[in-house]
Amino acid sequence: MTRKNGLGGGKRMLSHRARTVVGYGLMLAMLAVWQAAPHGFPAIAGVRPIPLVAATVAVAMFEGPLAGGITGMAAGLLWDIYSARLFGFRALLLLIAGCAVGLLIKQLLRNNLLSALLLTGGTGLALTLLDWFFCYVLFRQPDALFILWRRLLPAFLYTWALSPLVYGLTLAITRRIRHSEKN
Amino acid sequence: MKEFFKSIGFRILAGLALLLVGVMIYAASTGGLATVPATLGGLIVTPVQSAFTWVSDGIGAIGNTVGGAFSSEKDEQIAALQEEVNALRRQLAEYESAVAQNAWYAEILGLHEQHTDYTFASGKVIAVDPTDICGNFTINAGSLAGVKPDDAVITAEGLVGAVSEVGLTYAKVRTVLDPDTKVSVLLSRSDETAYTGGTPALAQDGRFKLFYLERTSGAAAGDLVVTSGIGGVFPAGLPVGRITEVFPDSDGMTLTATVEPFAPLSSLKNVMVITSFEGQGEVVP
Repeated sequence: MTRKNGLGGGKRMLSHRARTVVGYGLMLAMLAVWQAAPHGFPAIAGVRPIPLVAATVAVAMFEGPLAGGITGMAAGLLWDIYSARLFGFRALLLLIAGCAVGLLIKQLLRNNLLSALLLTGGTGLALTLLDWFFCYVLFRQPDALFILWRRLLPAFLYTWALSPLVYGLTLAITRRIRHSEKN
Repeated sequence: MKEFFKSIGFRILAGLALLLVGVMIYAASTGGLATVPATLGGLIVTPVQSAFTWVSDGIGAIGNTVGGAFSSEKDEQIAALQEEVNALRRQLAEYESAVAQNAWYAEILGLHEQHTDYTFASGKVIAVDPTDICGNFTINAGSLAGVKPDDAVITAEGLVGAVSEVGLTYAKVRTVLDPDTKVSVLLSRSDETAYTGGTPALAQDGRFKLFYLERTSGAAAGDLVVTSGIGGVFPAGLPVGRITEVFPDSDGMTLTATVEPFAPLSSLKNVMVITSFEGQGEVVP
């Protein structure tokens, strides 16, 4: 009897993981394709958002540091495929960001919209400054400050403005996964 | 917090981070060819990205027909007429799409007729990076279509840029606005040679620079710029752009010019990649 229950528990765990991977995986894939599409998100003064950053933060808030880190890596790889940056660079940054956000929610902050805004703002700004430093300042690219001011920071602000929507979408997916578990 | 750093979860993440560092080192050493993980990712993502781009491009045309679909159904006659209007709008959207497609085929045909020695691969712009300021993009044609790193990318109007990285089913294109794109060019009026090089500030305005023009060259606004063919990377004579401004460098010995490209870089949908041409790889003295 115990053995039977144990097997059932294992199956349930596997099914939960499969549902989680499929749910968040589809969300990431959809956002990645939308983010990269030439006529995807509407451009404001030539600037487009990076919803994959907001998605990494939101998933890390609901699923913890391990899932957050793995989600960040997956999001970064999807971003890197069509980016001019070194393949794996954004994946590494988002892996660290996802893990850090998961830990902050576990230890310090509550999981709510205000925390989502705070964490997306902090993560987005940190990623923007690291991206700028490693890709422009370190290699002494011309007009580095211009790029930060006119492209990277506006893209971060656009992403930040979009983060409540991404948080809401992630919340809906999380509820759906947990609801289907109960049934 | 300490528990997490001792957990298996942390070890998994640390292992993945190390793996990514390895992938980055590998990616830096491939010389324009996509890494195996990027190629595998591209194989899966590129068809989805192409389909999404095709849909998002068509949304504008289809959007006109959607507006009328939710009209009041009180009057059957109005509804029938509305349906007819919607059908006509759909036909119009299809017609506009066919006209655009036809214009693109005409461009390809024209290029083939002008340059019989060129071999082309056609590609659709499927992705851009939101943080990129130079208009670099990805097309849905890769090494399977014969595309190689450094191949010239053009439209009927002129040079767009060069291929910077190639996967099996996709290629990344670096435009002439990018500081890393160096093209040897010729001023059509004076035969003076120069090299292109962008700056982000100029890229924002859709222009790039020509460096190290001789002070005596006589370069002036309005001069046409074409590829020189020196180096054998790009075919000679491809139209690049028109000089908009010329000013002396700080050393007083040379001139710098700003150029507006002929190709509409901000609204590209389809491009052609020149995969081979007569004299490719031959260094012109």
